[in-house]
Amino acid sequence: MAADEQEEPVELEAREAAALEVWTALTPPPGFADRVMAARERALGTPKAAAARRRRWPYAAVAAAVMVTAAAGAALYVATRRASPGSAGDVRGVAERTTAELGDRGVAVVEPGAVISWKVDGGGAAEVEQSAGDVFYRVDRGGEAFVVHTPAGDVRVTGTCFRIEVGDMQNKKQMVLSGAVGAAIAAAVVITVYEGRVVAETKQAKTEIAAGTRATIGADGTAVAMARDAAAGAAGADGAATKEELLARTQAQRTEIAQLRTKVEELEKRSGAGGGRQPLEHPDDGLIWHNPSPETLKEWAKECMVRVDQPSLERFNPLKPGSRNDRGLEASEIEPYNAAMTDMAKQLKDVIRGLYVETTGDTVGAETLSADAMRREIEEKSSREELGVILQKLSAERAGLQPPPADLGKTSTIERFMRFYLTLGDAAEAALAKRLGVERAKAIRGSAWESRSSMSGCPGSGDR
Amino acid sequence: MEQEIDEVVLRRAIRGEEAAARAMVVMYQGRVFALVARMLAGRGKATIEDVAQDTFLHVFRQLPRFEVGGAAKVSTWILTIAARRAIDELRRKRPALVADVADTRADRAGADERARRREIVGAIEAALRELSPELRAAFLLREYHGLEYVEIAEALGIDLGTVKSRLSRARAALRERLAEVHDGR
Repeated sequence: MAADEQEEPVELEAREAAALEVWTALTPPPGFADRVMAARERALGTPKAAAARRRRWPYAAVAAAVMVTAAAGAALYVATRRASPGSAGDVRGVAERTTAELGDRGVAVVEPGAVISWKVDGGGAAEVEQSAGDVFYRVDRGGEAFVVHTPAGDVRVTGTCFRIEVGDMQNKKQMVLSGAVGAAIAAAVVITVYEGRVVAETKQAKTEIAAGTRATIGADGTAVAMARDAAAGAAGADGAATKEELLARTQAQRTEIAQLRTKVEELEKRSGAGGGRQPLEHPDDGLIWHNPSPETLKEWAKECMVRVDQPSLERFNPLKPGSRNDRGLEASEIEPYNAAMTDMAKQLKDVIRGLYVETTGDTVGAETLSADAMRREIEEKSSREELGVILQKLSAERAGLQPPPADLGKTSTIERFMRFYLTLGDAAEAALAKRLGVERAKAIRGSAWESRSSMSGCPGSGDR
Repeated sequence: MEQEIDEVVLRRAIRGEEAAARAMVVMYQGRVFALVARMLAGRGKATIEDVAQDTFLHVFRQLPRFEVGGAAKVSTWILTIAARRAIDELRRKRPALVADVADTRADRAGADERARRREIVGAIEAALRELSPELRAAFLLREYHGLEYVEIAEALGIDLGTVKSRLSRARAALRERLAEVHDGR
């Protein structure tokens, strides 16, 4: 092989190259493009439907960029990033629960079938359009406005946790509430406030809704406060839910709120003054991402939570000599750092490619897709229940509560991927240690590599 | 230099806009047909059109994951998909005995010239038949579509050194066959 690599290829002479020109190629027959487009429509659906489906991809891209992946119900993936000054996006009719970051103003947990779009300006003022479905919002406190426009009216907040359910107003579909008063009324929009307070504003009325209250806005635009204790007394949009189901739902929501609070706290810690990378402060000596205490690991195991940090390998761009970097690398360290990370990126891509082919059988895609795209495809092939089971196992193993499986080869593709994924941070540090020494590698990793993910959700915990 | 699709149109196609998708087909259909037809020399036109169409369907399925502004040119990406589709086709079926790919330029030439062109095309096809499907694709991507060696190696999953050395041998074989035509050997 080495001889092959050193061999300079024989090129064609001019006469031979000219001979190649003699072999003209078949040209596309008339109407070929029309037939391709017709086949595209048959294979991928109508152009409109295909466009609607693909609108999920821009969202998926946003999700990847902000490192938030929601696997619905049982396994809620939440990862973190530094907030950006302004953003816009949408989530439309997703099949599974999806978590979206609304710029740096908060998080929306979008239930299947719900439709929202948002715009956050550079100053932090946020406007959200929610035209359908059930969405939970966690809004960071701030001076700027946060408004959710619904078909029945607007909801204005300054910092709170609340949920909005939009019924089908056009079809007059009734959403039945069985609240504390035991009344059943038709409602267009239901607002449940968990923390803080919001103002529901319609053409006819302006109603303040406090924490622990559920209110409805009727199709006629009249806001009506319904129940004082949202957690215990209010029913969901699915009026057939039992009390036990409602309690379970409320518990799941509270767990979600707790997770989101943790996330907000992490974001706040990371986005310190000056915009530079801030060391994480945490009881575990700042090493919560890769060296948490045994007590912390046991706590996480109760929530089936694992955390991982790793370099940004999927989009690794070698540092240029003399370039500034936020890892404190000396000029002489840039080359070995690049070499280590390039090796790691290749390893990651090779593993993902193998697992992708195993999962999908798509050898062509494996040659052309990015590692990021293949990873998403692998994740999407697994069920939320499966992800929950894997997180339960991994968190318990990490806490020392159960041994790892004797034969990893018998585990599922997604489990092997996740196990590999959890080793990348340490593997990158080890690769660096070979070149720069253990102490230097440890210092360069610091409190965490730049990419950090927190994954949690026990099997069945989020089922409805 | 071959034209590439405008990045704005590409983004619209990624969003699923029909007009932009059609623009992609129109932009790249000639190159896809050229590659597939040469890869499947000796197969019927219907097969070639099927593979070309299948290439575009695969392109549309994978398009949302294409990295706009990434390292790969759109044409390189599409030709890679076309090459893989053609390779699959070569592996699936035995070659037909008679080629029916038209040589339109030859049709316009005189009888002697037509005969000479047929000989040249026959020599090229014979040289290509000696190559594995992957190397045949590598040769065509290099000589007719101008891909870099490293792009070919990455696209086809072949070691760079192997691409270079095998293509050298393919060219040497082609040189011999063309010499037979040119020198009347």
